Amino acid sequence: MNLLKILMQRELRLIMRTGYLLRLISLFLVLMTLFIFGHIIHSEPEILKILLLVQFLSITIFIPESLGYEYHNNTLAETAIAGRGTLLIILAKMLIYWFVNSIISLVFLIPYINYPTIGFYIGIVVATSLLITAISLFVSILTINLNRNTPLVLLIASPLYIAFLLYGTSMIDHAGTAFVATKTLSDLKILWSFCLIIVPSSIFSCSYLLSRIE
Amino acid sequence: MLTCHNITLENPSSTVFFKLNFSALPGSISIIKGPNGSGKTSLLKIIVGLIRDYSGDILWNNTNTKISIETFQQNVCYIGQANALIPDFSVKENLKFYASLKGNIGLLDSALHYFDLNKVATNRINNLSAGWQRKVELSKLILSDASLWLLDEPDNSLDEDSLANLDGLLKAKTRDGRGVVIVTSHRQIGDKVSYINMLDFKK
Repeated sequence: MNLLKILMQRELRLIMRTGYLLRLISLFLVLMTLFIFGHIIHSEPEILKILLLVQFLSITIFIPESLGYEYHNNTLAETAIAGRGTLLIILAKMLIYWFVNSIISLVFLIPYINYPTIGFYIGIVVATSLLITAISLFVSILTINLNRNTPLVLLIASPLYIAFLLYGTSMIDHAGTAFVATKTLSDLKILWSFCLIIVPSSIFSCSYLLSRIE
Repeated sequence: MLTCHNITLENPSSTVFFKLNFSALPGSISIIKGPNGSGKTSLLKIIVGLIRDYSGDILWNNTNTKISIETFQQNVCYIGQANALIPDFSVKENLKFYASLKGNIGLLDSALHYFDLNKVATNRINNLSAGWQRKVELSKLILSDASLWLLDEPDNSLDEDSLANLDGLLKAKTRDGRGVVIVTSHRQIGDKVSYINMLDFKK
């Protein structure tokens, strides 16, 4: 537990120091501004779509970047050796990226959401962030393991992203109906079920892949 | 005690080294020598578990490291040819993180003091010269209580004073019973050392 805490502290410091937070907030501001000036925001689900899009973009861009950064300055291998295994490195990275993205998303989301539906939207943001983080970490480590053969990785990973995007889009379309709608609640349950399956399996597979890095 | 038994490393076009054998005893320094490309760095990476595609056995206190590489790694301090430092962190932050990993945060001040890093403690790594960066990397030795040190060209970029400090550290720690395996192609370190010549294991 103490080791996980140390790794998470370092990850958080790395995020702050490498300008991740600033870039994430800038990405939100740019997209929100574009959407607002385009007058296409009519409802809460529209806002949610923007948030999910930003989450998707930020996590899928920045996690590979962060992992590549550590790989190239040799600290990834050193931490794996000195830190007694790779499982905790993956877990720490995933928890921090999930936490930071969820928090930032919620900061932007909350002013736009009416009270009765807030729980539902928070659930979607938190679950989505967790899901994308897990998938993105898996793809990043796969990329490193396959000697940065990006086309091959994209070929393997695209179905994961596409399936998630299709599902996410349909779910958000349903979300406008109402918080109390049974269909929406069941969609949220399915999303959480995805998380419960994908997240632990990603952690273990990432850890295995990372341990194979030469 | 570390024992390498019949280690062979092959790449797609050739054999890097063939049936390499050597032992590193507690309290001794073993120096791996050889020309560029003879596999010195690869040998250290094999020992520490960063390369797994090899044949042969590595025994740590008579237990094969393949059985539990993580247990073995807890007993090893590996300093690679390239530094493992986060460029956007300060000297102190880098060492503090390593000390935390090793559970030796109390030794942080000693580590900063040994290579005279106090004056650059708050500087970021990417603002330091190669020599200072190497000294930060080597300071991790102070923070590690590992019983085996694996050092790949530790003397790169060091000035005369720092080389003397490094030699003093190596001698002191081997007296305490640590085993040290060093890859170096540049110089002698003391008299009581054993040499492994990579050219002896060419196919």
